[in-house]
Amino acid sequence: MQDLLQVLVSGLTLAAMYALSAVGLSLCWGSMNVLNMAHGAIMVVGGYVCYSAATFLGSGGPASFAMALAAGAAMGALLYLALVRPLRQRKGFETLIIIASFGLGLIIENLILKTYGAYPIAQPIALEGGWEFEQVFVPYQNAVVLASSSLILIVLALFLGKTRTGRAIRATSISAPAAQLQGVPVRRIYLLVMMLSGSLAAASGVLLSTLTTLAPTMGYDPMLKAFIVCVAAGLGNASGALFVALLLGVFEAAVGFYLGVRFGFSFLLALVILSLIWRPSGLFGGKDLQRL
Amino acid sequence: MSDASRQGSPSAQWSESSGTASSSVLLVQDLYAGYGAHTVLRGITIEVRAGAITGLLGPNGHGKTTLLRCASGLIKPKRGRIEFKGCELTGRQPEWIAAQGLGQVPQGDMLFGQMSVQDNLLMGAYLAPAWAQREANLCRVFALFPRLQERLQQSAGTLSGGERRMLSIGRGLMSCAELLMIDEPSLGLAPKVIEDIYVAIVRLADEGMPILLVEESVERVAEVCRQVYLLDDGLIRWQGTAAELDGNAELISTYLGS
Repeated sequence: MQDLLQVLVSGLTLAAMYALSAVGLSLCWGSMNVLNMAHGAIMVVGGYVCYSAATFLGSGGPASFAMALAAGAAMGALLYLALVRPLRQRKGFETLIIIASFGLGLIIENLILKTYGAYPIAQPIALEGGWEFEQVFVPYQNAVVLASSSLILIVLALFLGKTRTGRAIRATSISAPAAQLQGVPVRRIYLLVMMLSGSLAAASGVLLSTLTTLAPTMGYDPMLKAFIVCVAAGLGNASGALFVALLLGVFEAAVGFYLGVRFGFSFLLALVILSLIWRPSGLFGGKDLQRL
Repeated sequence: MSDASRQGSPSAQWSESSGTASSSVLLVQDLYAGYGAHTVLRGITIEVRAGAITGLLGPNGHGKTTLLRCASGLIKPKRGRIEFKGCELTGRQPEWIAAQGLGQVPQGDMLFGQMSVQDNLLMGAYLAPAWAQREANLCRVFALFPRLQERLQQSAGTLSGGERRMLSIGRGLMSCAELLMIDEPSLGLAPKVIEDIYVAIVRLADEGMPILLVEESVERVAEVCRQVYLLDDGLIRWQGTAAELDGNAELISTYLGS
């Protein structure tokens, strides 16, 4: 019983971070077929901006976190204006944007490497210590990660589900021409989605760095896992990505706990491969998209 | 409308009559359009006036939908101009054109299938002026199509063909459009359902909404339209009143084969 609870604590924390970045990736793919390979780099930017704000400006945890979100949104806007917009009408856009965003990601990561150095840095806003209930240890920071990711995802769901702009984002991802006929400025919606996605990446980067450390290459592993989550859920399905992230996070933690951490990732991949054989377009996938 | 004014060129009519009760709303002049190297429209001139239904009649695949897609900005014409309420639309983005008050009920409905009926209707009211009046417009749509109110939370993709058409027209009405272009409202529907849809269209026109109706069925067009254009193979072959069309068996058999 204690084991199971311990697995749930670490699994849900993992899941929360997977979910944040997977939902971000999924939004981009869902609305404009952008597989954003700079997603990991934006996580790194988020982590370092938060570190810099807390260290050099002396701002508190929430303020530093907010600055990281703003930096993520700015990176998303940059990605849209510099790459997506000029390439959008080109033939083979889906492939071009993978390569172009990968390049942008490399530039960003190397700029960070040059500025901050390659050594891992501790994230200053992370909390020490934790609660102990009946031999189950819950670090404060895990609770913070869980609570803040849940809060962000709930706010995002309300925004997409209930507001005029959120509804326009969903409509644009279903059919951009039909949304245009209703007067939706789809290019502004694309920009907004990239900014949202950038903020989600930055949030996930900050939270990740509070559990491990900051390093210029810290984005690769979570980005890869976020892609895996998106593919398993069906690309472009944000709520599906959330569900699959929860499932895979807890699964990975369970395998890590019972069989050893080194098996976590390989078992996760095996599970995803099996599920893709069963449902090739993902658990919740199966739609075509027209992009403008 | 007198014979003389009807036979004059639409552009001349438009400049004479702007500002009068039956002023021109939409004017298409010498429009060429197509897809790639293939030209579908080869010099189309039509005029839609306020206060009635204007019919655009013609067989399938001869450019009716292309004309509407040009007007709403979804495709760019190769030549010619389109004016709405005296405002040039040519080369504008569809969202800008929609904001001027030109509404389209597109062929195949183009609903947001995974979204609820309610969300589809609210998408119709996306633009700020319509958003402010969304409650009143919802009531108007429900009065016209009570079925939609019963299906409010159902996803649009699960509706029947007739309900989808109602939702598509309803979404168009949510937008405070000043002209509604309706593309083949009877396409793929059972006769009884077509009847319901047409009752709604006529009611809208009676409320003062100018409508450009695209149809294949002569009977429907003759029944509800005032002015009719016959589009065949990318050209306007004939224009006149619905009554004249009805009496012209030769014309109908030449172009519409019935």
